[in-house]
Amino acid sequence: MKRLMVVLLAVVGLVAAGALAADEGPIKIGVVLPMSPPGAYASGNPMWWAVLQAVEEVNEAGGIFGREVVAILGDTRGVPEEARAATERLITKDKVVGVIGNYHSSCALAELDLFKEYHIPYIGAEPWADDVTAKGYDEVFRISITNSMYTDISVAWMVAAGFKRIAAVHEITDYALGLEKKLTAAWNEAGMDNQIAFCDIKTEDFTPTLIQFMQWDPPADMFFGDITGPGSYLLVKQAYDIGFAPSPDTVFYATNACLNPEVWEVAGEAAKYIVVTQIGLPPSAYTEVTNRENEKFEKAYGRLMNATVMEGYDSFMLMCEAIKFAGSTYPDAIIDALEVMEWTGMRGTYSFPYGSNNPVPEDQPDYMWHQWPDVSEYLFQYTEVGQSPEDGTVIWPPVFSELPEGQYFIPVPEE
Amino acid sequence: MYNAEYFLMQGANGLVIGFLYALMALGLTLIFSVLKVINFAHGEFYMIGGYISYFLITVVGGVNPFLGIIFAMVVLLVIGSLFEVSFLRPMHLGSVERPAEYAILVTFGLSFFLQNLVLGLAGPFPHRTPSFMSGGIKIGYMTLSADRLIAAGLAIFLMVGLLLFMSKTWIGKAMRAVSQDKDAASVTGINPLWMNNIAFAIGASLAGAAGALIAPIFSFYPDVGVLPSLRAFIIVVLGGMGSVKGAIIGGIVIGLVESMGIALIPDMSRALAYRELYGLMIFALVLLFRPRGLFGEAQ
Repeated sequence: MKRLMVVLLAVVGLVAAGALAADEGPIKIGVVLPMSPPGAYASGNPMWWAVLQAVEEVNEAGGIFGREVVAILGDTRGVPEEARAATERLITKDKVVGVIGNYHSSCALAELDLFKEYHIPYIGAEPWADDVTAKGYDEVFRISITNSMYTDISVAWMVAAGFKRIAAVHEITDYALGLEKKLTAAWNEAGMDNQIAFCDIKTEDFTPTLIQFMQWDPPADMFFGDITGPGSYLLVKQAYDIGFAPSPDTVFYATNACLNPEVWEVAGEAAKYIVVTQIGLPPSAYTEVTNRENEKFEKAYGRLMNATVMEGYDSFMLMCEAIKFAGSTYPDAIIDALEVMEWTGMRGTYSFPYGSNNPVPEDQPDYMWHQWPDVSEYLFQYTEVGQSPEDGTVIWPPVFSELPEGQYFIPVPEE
Repeated sequence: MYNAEYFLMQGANGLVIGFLYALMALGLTLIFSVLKVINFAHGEFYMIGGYISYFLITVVGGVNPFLGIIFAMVVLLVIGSLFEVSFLRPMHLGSVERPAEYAILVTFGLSFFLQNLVLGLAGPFPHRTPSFMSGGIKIGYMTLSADRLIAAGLAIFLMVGLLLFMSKTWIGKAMRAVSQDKDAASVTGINPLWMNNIAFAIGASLAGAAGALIAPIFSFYPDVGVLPSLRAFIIVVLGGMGSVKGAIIGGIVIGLVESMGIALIPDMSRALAYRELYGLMIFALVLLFRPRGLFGEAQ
């Protein structure tokens, strides 16, 4: 019996020593992003650069609890199966204490069960599908907008602007199909006629469908182009080339892919007067962190962060702040911290009011669970060729708008 | 209701795109006919053609976009030749045990390598070369993009050039001889290894030309070649494996079928989504009734 006790004590001692040793190593945070084809690597890469900027800052400030912070990348390639495998590897092999990231909703949805199974806190950076937080998992938080929130804000502008006939192209992805359902329902409810087309995310030639839209009589007064990849710029160019939109008859409403400077290289003057959504604060409301980090990022990478890239920085910093607030890397402590803390990042002050301490009220949708409710979305119009989003004219919401409510610029027809 | 103008516009758009598809497929079929190898990196040669033209025009600056195409073709000619000598020649020298599997693996490997190399070197963002000519060109009561028309015209020029090269020059005839019977060709003094090298280099160069021609019309990025390459495989099989004429006709057929398929499907929500399906349906029908393709020869 005595020998057994000695053996047990030795085992306990070894486990404790192991745990202590682990506690003395770097704090590892997993980052899941699409970094290579076929995913949206043009968004994943700059998000990763923003994470690296955050890592550098945290470590320059002494790390967390004096320990170095390390970001470990899992390349999802935008493929749900690979996203799940990358996440499982981060959790089981790399022993990360938390995970942040995702651009594709389909990838985030494929990973959710792993966060629950391994009880690892996760902060979603850019997955918009309502279901990501609607599942109500203790471990899952989100700082991006949801499809429903986006629909509410966008359709409010469309109603204020008085649109009656809407043509739309949606890519076939989990995000876009979810958004299409919400938008079409909202358009129908608002009495707006609509024609919808779907396409593969890799589509490059939209001309046949745009010619079809042009046969609509009277013409569409708004064209909604819901493409997130490089096709988004081509859609702008091709719609303009055939005289569809932006035109005196038809406004072009583009997704936030058109925030990138490449829109000018690919679409050129066609992008002048397109309406674009920015899921973040308008320049007039930038925080101190927004200005500081943007400046640093521009110096390093020659471009400003768009709202999606800011989400990479913010989600990583938020995880670090939660660990600091918790005083521990234990999952329960981090989750508890995220539920009660507030932190101001590049896109505003983050908080998650609905969680285990304060369940989602009945009058609020399910996706509000662990969802940052104050996501800012504004609409602006490019008014000059080569303009940066920061210099565009904000047209919605009224609190930020530089034009009278519901008004926007209409291109002057060429002589 | 749609009118005649609508169908003419859709048809013209399909025809123009079809010529570009055909140029892409032509290189693939040439490589197959001579080397009996399916080049899975063909889409990446197309992608590199776009990047080379872009860097010459925008980074070097002041270069005519047409020169960008010629430069892309020359660089791809060299890359194709070097790749063939380094990786495919051992297969033809008999130093590889399972040549068919080897060819698939080595060209697949090249495809992944090139995608990731370009991603690392050129970055993740899409680019587009400046227009050959901005605006549209009015033909009757249709307005077609000037860039598309110029690209289609140049594609026709290159295809005619290749046909003439294959039928009028000694090297062209020698390549055709090797494609028909390698052993018989070597008896007449033709070196099949050289013909393999020339065919692969020209095939890669044609893919590069297609990429450079399309660069002002569509954007290009590291994995831009995946879909065009898949479409080129369909065209090559549709036209008949190894048939130059088949690749040209097949490209035009696929371009027209895709465009008119979208135009004719009454349900707009599905018309564009099923774009690739229209071509695949024609492909399946041709294979059903003529398994060797439109212009393929019986083995």
